[in-house]
Amino acid sequence: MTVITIEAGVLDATLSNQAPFDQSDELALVERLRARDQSALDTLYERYSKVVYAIALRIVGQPADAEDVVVDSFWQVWQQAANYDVSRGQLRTWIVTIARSRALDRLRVLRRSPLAEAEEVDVLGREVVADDDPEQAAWLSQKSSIVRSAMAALPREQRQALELAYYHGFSQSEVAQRLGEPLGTIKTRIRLGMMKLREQLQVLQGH
Amino acid sequence: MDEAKFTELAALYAIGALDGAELHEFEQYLRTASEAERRELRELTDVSAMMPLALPQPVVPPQIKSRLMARVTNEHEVEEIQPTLEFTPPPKRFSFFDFFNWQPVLTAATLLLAITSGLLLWQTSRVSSERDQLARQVDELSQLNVATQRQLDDLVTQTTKFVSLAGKEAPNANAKVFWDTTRNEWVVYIFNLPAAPADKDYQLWYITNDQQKVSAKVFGTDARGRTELRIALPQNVAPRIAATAVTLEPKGGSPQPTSGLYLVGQIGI
Repeated sequence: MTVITIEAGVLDATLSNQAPFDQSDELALVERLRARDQSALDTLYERYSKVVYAIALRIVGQPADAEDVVVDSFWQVWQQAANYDVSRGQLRTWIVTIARSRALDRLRVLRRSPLAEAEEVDVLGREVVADDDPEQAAWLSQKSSIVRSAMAALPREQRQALELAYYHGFSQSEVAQRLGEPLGTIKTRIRLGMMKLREQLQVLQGH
Repeated sequence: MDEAKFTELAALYAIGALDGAELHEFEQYLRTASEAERRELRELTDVSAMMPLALPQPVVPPQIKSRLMARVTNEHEVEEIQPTLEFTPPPKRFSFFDFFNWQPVLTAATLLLAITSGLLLWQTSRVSSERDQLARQVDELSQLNVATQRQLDDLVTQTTKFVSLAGKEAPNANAKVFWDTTRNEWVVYIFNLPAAPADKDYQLWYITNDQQKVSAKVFGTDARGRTELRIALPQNVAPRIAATAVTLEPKGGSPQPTSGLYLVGQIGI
């Protein structure tokens, strides 16, 4: 396993130059959503549908179910744009959180757990599929590369605990039970994993 | 909550793994968390939301967007159509109740309603009558209260004389006289006189200090031999009254006593 070191200052400058949208742009987008501007939803969809679909597919496992999750997620964003509080987090975080919740809801309904895949999560080394918007595709590719590298840098046990919690919706107690480890050990793994990710991904905060 | 504890719980919370009492405790704590603590939680939540960027980025099927936009468009259409729908009656749906004969039920219900209304009217009338009766009793009690107050005034005045009459011809009888010397009025309470024969009346007399008998009042009694008399004393007699007595006289009274003394009492100084 290769631990990567990110030159934060260099990368931050690179991302700032390359990001196709900034925070003010996102705030304007939210305002348009609140005004029930369908073109704003279109823009939002183009910007985040790929990651939302990825989450949905990763959690529910089947493309047909994942499609429903994507529609339900963006529909919820459309309906609840007025409730989005800019001061409480980034727009991307809000949308991803909604997508994860909807996907886990669907997973519970389906009672179909792709747990077997969890121990060998395939998050490393995948290439981003070509996008209609080359600029956005490049930007997303760069971010994805950074996150993949950060995830790959985690000890396997920590990454496994994080992914069981995040993609399967398991609580710390359930993770401990499934892995046959003491609860305290799981708490530690999750805490250390999150701390390392925060350190590695600090360069992406706000982007 | 110290910094290390907060960081551990925040990391678990951000990734959705916190549960049980710790989850409750942490959410309670968040209500009063400092801005620095809130910022740390936001950062950890952002970190967890970045994790999906590491997933393989699939091609998004184009029909998803079509479905979403159709849903949004349909929402607008529903909103525009809604006002019209509000005035459109729902289609008629036949059910068991359409074939049920409601006439007897309606008749019975009407009859029941009429009976109930009659009972309510009767009850209202009865209550009203009782209310009027109670009002009359209140008036009577009010008048009695005024009279009693007047009697009490008579009793407590410093110029009141008290005379007690004892039975002679009627040993069980007695009487009390309250004499308001200021107004020269007597209030006489008589008890336990035998019932007078049909052709007789009782008669009260002033007996002056020169033994003249002056008629004061002819009276009857109730079934228990009781009565109350109010008498304004003659101006020319009042200063000379030395005693008072009751006799049984022919109906309507006599100029002078014709029977023995049923009650008699001396006027004190």
